[in-house]
Amino acid sequence: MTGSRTFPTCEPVDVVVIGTGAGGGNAIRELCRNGVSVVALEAGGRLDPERDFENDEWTMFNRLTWSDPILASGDLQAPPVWSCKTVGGSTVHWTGAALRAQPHELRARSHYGALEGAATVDWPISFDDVLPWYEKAERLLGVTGRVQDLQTPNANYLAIKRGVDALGWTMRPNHLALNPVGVFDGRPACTQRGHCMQGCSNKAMWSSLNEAIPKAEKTGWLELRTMCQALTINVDSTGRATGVTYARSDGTLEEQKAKVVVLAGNAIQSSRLLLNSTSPMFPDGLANGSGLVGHHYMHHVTGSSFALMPFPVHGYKGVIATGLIDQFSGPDPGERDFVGGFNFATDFLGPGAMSIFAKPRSLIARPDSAQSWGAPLVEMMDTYTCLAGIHFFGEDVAQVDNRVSLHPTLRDAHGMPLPMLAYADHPNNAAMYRYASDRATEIWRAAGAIRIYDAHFPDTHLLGTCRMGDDPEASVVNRYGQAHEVKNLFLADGSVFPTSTAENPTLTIIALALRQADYVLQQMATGDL
Amino acid sequence: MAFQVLAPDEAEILVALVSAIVPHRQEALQATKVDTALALDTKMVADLGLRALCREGLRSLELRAQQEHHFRFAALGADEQAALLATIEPGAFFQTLVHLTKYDFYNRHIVWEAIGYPDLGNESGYLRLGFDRLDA
Repeated sequence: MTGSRTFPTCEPVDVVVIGTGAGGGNAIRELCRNGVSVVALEAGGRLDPERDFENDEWTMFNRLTWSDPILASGDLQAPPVWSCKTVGGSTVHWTGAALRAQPHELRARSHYGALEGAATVDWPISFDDVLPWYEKAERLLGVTGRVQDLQTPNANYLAIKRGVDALGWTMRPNHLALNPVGVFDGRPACTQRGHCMQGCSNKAMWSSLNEAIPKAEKTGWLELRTMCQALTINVDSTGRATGVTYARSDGTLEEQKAKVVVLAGNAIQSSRLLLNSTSPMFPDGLANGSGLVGHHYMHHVTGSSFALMPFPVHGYKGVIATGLIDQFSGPDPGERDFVGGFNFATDFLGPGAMSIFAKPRSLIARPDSAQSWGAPLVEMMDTYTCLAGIHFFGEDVAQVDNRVSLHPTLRDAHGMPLPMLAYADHPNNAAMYRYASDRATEIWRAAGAIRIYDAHFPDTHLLGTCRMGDDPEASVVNRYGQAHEVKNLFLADGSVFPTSTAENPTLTIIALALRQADYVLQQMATGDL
Repeated sequence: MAFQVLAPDEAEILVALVSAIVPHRQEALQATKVDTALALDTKMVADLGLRALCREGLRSLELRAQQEHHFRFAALGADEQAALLATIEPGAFFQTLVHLTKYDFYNRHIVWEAIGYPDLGNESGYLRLGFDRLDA
């Protein structure tokens, strides 16, 4: 693998891509495969899965995580977010769940109706618009149950399924971006290590790091600059993006000129960068004529529970997100006191994270409530091998005041204002959380659980801060993720989601990035970009 | 290994506190509680904020034990220690100590062994070690 191409900074490269995660990585690969010159800027470093990924939760947490502060307020815990700062972005620590959003979810406003205090809208594109790109994404990732065979369930799945079967509900293997048996696309099969969130050391789990970036490098059209944090996207007097100023690891600044900029830093870092990119034409931040950059931050309504079973489970064995219960996210759920759907997936933690996050129910009043210690903690940890785990995630209502903004005075090491994140739960979220928690309790009781522990995790699904739409006064980007006001600027991460849907967002981010890359290529070919 | 920051009487309280946070009874883990206390002491070498928080918290805890029970904290029974700690539970000192204790203690391989977690090496997996079998 060569791929060490060097482009001069003072001459416009075809495209600068900021971020190498789910959206950025796929944009990079598609552009390079079509002979487009790309400089990719990645704030983090590049790790080698075989050498740098260890079976140690804290070592890998510290090695992968974007740990620069995000100043949270409202209904968020500390830290509020878990995202990665490394080549591959958060695809390095994800658990591989590759679900399509559902048709009715892309018509959220029409389907659910208006919700007081919410900014629920219909997406400007339909499921049918995205379907061919979902299929392409699934082929690239080798999604199980779509392209590869479904994976074999593990013991955690089997323990939970007893409860699900007793209730007459449905549990099935999840659609994962994973090689269940045999080699796929030059990458080996999963050996069921169960360290998905510490990085897949044998590359059986898809990530931009182990597939998209290497393929782009092989084309000879990519220069990947690591440890380079983008600080501003610069524009000329006509409002066209002209390049990106970034800080190198030694703190010196550089500007890479570009004909097109694709921003894929995740919903928090991308909106932060746009807000930091002020100019006489864009005094409130680049592409922010609508005033909506940073607004409508969404994550998912989430909760985890771990249950003590009266028999050994050894739930740490094998793929974490291997199972799915998706009967609560359909279009016609019946009478409920909330709108939107949620799904369950199997979940587990190593001993360290389990001791920190899982708590007896009496301690769960808020995400930042007191920690477990003493006899109840020891009781839980001494029975670690008898625990099973499940996680639910559901549609988060878009609210305009849930937002990313820039701190007026606090800055990071490069002088860039720190992001502030303000978030308040909508009553719909609280109702969904109660309902989903009750369903989890039902599953555990039916499975024969002795005791239940609950857990809350930082947000990993970061969405909504540069929402897409047809109306430039009510959205930041158009249906191709193209900034309404800056025609050569594109967003290729979860920031473009107008609503959160219930599903894990990665496959949708990738499908949209593939669709966008195709559009960019067409526009370049016709001279419109 | 010796405590670098805490004086012997402070270290004694810290060890008792760690033992109360993670009161595992396994013989093999008794020394591990001391190891965790030593690790916290090491953090205090560079982290002056933690050092100040801990010193004040340990001092205050010891004072409470003497005033209410007329014994050193380390000499109290487990139930009395737990009851005393419950009264300082919401405070920054105790919450910090709980988090740091768990972060260190439950990441030690000797603890994994004691709770039955096998800690495979980097190249292994459970593919042929019964990942898909529920023995129940």
